[in-house]
Amino acid sequence: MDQKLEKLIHRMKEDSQELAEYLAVLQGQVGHAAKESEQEILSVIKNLAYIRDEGKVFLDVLHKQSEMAAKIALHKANKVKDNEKLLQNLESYQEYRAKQIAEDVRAIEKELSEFHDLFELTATIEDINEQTNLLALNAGVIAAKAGSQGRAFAVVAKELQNLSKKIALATSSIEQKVKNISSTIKESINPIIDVARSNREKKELDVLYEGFADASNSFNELSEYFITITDASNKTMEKMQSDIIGALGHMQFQDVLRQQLEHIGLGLKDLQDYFNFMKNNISNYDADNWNVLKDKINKLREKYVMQQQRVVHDRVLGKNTQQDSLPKVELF
Amino acid sequence: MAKKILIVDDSPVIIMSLKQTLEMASYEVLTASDGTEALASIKGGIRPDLIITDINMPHMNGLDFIKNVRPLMRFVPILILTTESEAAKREEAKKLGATGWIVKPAQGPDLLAVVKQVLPGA
Repeated sequence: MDQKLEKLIHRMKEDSQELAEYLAVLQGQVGHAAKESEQEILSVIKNLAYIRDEGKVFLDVLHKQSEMAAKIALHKANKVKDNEKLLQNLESYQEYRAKQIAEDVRAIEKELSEFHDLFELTATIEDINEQTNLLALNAGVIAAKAGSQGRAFAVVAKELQNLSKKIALATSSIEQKVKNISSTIKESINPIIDVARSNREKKELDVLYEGFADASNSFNELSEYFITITDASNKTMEKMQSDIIGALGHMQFQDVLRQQLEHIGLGLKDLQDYFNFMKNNISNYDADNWNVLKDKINKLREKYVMQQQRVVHDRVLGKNTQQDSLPKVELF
Repeated sequence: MAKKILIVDDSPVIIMSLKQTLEMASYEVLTASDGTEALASIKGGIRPDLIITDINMPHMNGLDFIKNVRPLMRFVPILILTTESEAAKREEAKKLGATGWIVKPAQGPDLLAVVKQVLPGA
């Protein structure tokens, strides 16, 4: 072996050693990349799980609070509605009272009219009674003067006096009745006063009624507002969960990537072994027992588990291999 | 009562990803990092309603796991979730008693739809 060839073999041995180291470094880098991507993805999954748990806690609290608030609002709205009904009853009663008062007023007017008639009547009776009394007195005097002939006239005079007394009694009775009527009128005046009071009450009731109606509407709006919040939160949470599930599905790519990197690592390991072999055997080169690199490339292809790896492998080597036609999901 | 699903995979990313997805759909999730560990758990008394297993795992691969677990659980559905896409492997899994085959990465809605299909009443 000449000196030039020996030098070349020495250089190749050194290069084989360095190449083996170089490939070991690459394997280390590939392994580290796979591990690091795994750690990062695990962190992302943990964060997603944390977001999901926090979202669930938040939604549970919001749910309970909204339900409670909606219940309270509904309860209050019902209470207000009850009060509205009460007010409506009061209003009806107030209208009934107003009608009754109007009837009372008409009765009073009638009684007043009768009252005035009675005054005229008692005045006439009193005049007649005075006249009768005078007539009886005169008749008594004339009868006394007439002696026995005037006896019958004295009887008439006496009867006239009795009549006058009866008239006086009747007049007294009429006066009593007038007093009674007067008392009735007084009693009837009270409802008239109440009419004024009822009018004031009606105005106050109207204001209250409007207030209750407003409050009832507000509570109903509040209740609907809480229901809207709860519905919106539920939808948001459902969307969030669906997005998290989508993201988790995409993260499975790391396992695919890890396996692809593992195969690259295996290829690099084969190359490392090849150059180690070359370093040790180049001095006593034996063509029959020499490892052929082409075999290693073919063996690398056999180790693939994904059709995508085979497609890439063949494409690089200038061959056309089709993608998988098998379904991604298949139930047997 | 929530249905129990046993996930067997050597990838912590797959375990975590499936666990979160299935728990969000209200399933109870049990995990094992290879066939040996899963088989030990089943022999130890756990009774999953469904098993989802990878194929390429250390110690005991998915196909060997199915071979060992089938005599113990004849009717429990077993889904294979793998990067493996060879038709021959699918056929082998089918013969060993697998219920279905899903290629990774499996999107959440697809996975949940299959789980619902093989778990009646879930």
